[in-house]
Amino acid sequence: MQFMTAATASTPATRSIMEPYDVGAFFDEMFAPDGSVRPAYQKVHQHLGGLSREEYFKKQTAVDLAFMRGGVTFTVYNDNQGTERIFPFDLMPRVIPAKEWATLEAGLIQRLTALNLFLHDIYHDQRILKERVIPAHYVLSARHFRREFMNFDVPKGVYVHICGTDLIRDHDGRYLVLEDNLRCPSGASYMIENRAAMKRAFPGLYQSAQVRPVENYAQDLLKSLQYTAPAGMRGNTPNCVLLTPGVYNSAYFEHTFLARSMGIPIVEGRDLVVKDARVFMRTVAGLVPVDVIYRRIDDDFLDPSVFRSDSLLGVPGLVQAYRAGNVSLANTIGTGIADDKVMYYFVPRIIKFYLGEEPILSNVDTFLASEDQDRAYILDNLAKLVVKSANEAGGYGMLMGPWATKAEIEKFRAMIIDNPRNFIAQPPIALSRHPTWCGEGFEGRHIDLRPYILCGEKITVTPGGLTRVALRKGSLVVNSSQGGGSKDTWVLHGDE
Amino acid sequence: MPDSTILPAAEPSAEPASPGGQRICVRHLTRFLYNGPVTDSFNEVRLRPLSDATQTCTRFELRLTPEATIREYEDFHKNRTHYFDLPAAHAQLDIEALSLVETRPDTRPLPLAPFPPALLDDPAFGFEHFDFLADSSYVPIAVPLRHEAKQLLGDTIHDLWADAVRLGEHVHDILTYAPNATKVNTRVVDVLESRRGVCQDYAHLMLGLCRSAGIPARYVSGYFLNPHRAPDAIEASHAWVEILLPGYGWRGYDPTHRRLPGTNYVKLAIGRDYGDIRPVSGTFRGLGTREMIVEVQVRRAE
Repeated sequence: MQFMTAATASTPATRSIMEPYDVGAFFDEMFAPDGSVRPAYQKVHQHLGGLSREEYFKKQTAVDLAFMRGGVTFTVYNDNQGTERIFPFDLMPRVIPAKEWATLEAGLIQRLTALNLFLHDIYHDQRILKERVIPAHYVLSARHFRREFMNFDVPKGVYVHICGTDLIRDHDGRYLVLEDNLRCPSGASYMIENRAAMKRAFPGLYQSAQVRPVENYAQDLLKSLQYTAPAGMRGNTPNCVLLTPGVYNSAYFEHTFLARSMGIPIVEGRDLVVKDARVFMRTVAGLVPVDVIYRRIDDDFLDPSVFRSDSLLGVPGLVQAYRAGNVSLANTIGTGIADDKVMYYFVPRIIKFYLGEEPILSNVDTFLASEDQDRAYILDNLAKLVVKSANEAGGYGMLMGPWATKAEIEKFRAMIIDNPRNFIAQPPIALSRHPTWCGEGFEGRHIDLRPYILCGEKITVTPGGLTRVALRKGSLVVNSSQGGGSKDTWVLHGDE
Repeated sequence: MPDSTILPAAEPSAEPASPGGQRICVRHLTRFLYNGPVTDSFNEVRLRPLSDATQTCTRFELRLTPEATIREYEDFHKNRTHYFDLPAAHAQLDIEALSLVETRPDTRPLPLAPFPPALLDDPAFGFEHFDFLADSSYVPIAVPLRHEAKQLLGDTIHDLWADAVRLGEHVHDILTYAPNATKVNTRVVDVLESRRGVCQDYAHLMLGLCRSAGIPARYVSGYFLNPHRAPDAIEASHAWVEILLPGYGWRGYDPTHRRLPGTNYVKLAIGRDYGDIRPVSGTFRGLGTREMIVEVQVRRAE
């Protein structure tokens, strides 16, 4: 469906850069089906639509340059065209009115509250298994279930300090949860950098649009980390550090950015040492005690004396110090059990079980390959479904049935039959689209949203998040590792 | 080596061992001689005998040289686990565990009534057996194991206990006890192939066959008091297997000796396999271990 907006009468010379625009057969974030601009987008549409091609191009170039100079990059694995890249940024912001955000916020808080209770239960009494709400074997056979931490009480009872939940909108504009990221979710630094870029590029518009700030994220994160510090250490402010695997990690830019924003040291495994079950940081002035570690290293690599002994990334003895209650880890060990894609299927039940509430945010319909009936359906309909492996993140290990070759489908068929526990399938969702600059003009591109939820004394959601956009025409994969870009996400104080 | 004098001087225990039971003391020394000074050594040990219906650990001491602060926790199989670190340079590490254990006969009747495998599916039975039917790092459920179990028991099993014992006896019959044939990390499929091994291999193979047949089984590490031991015979830790019988509980079988464990047995820890309950495990920075010496003495305490 192609249409002209209210400015249709204008001559081609003065035609808005927003035109022509094809809403297509999708939910469009900016335009209602009748072509009118949704209320929350009025100001953005008016302002950016009023720019000339040259003005728009100038602003985009300036922003790109700023990202380049700032080194706002990420790394793509399995790629031979150089590893480090600039994260492509689209100027047209994604706008969320206050009313919509209120629902999202409540839904995300509800979800993380339940997931924290779930993790505590799984590592203690396993009530949810005993009462058969979730078949026990799904938990007990999960790769990220860390038996080593059964009956361990985590500091302040907080399992997940930082959560990045991926949300999408379907054909009707309904928000759905696509996945929970409860291990080391990344992307918060782009949320903050994107905002800084937009403020520089559109100071006036930003002022008038009444956008809620995201800049407090780093300080809020620091507060959450400090809150979970082991009790009674010294009475001083707890010493927090960010533990990175190093410069070759895809999110290394983010690690440096967050450490700098919080004003805490960034360390690698070799910078830390454990003595008498206490963690210390090596500095030129001697050993400095460490109370909280914001670790951006997976469980497997954390401590070679407990987990993978072939890893040099971690800190030998760290797990002993943690067990002794002398250091906090954010996130804690073993949270991966709850963001396993099979466990995702059970999250609505988890919410009902622990909170006695209906989930505010729905899941995408999901089939479990390990259930006989579901598996038969999946194998019969591979060409229509999206298949995901249970423990992979970042869009790796995925089959997009409708767009896959016969060979790819057969490869997944064999993998599913061989190890059904490792696969789920979902119908492809017609993700909502957002006007996105595509070289010549604006075209609709599919987007998702990753808000960041912090858990300290209480659970808070930073108003905003990372909107990722699939830049390739027709593509539904928004992951930065698969050619995605991003947008600034504006949560408004009001609804327009 | 005189008997209970290996334990630290302490009050003599007044009450005698329970009827039919024994009082057993154990000294277990692990000595690491390194190729030079090592630092940042982190260790976890499971050397304290457990206490349950058939035994009570009444005294336990863990001595370290060099000295270190010892901390402890209960692991996911409820084993008492001690851990310590030695950051400073050292060329030798001695870990010496001294324990006194009172053992009692298992008062339950032998599990003679048939235990049909369908009992495992009873919802009231719960899921505690899940870990003991599944793959574990030393005991992967592999085709050759399934095949071996099937050859002996046919397609379906009828009685969890009787069939487990048959598998245990089979392990005893097909393996030859050979102290140096396997290493501590030998996997169970290789044992089946080579048909040689020590108690750890006997136990792992029995676990693999039981689990392949759908019989929940776990690994037990411990000691064995041999009253007929020759004075110069080498003593070592022991390992055997326990089978889970719904409504009855766990019952042990020792495939190395082809018999049920009695009051001569001291249980140290339980797990899915050896990997869960290594008596001593750890890491350090340095040039490696030149020699590891293990000395075990198991004596009847007077």
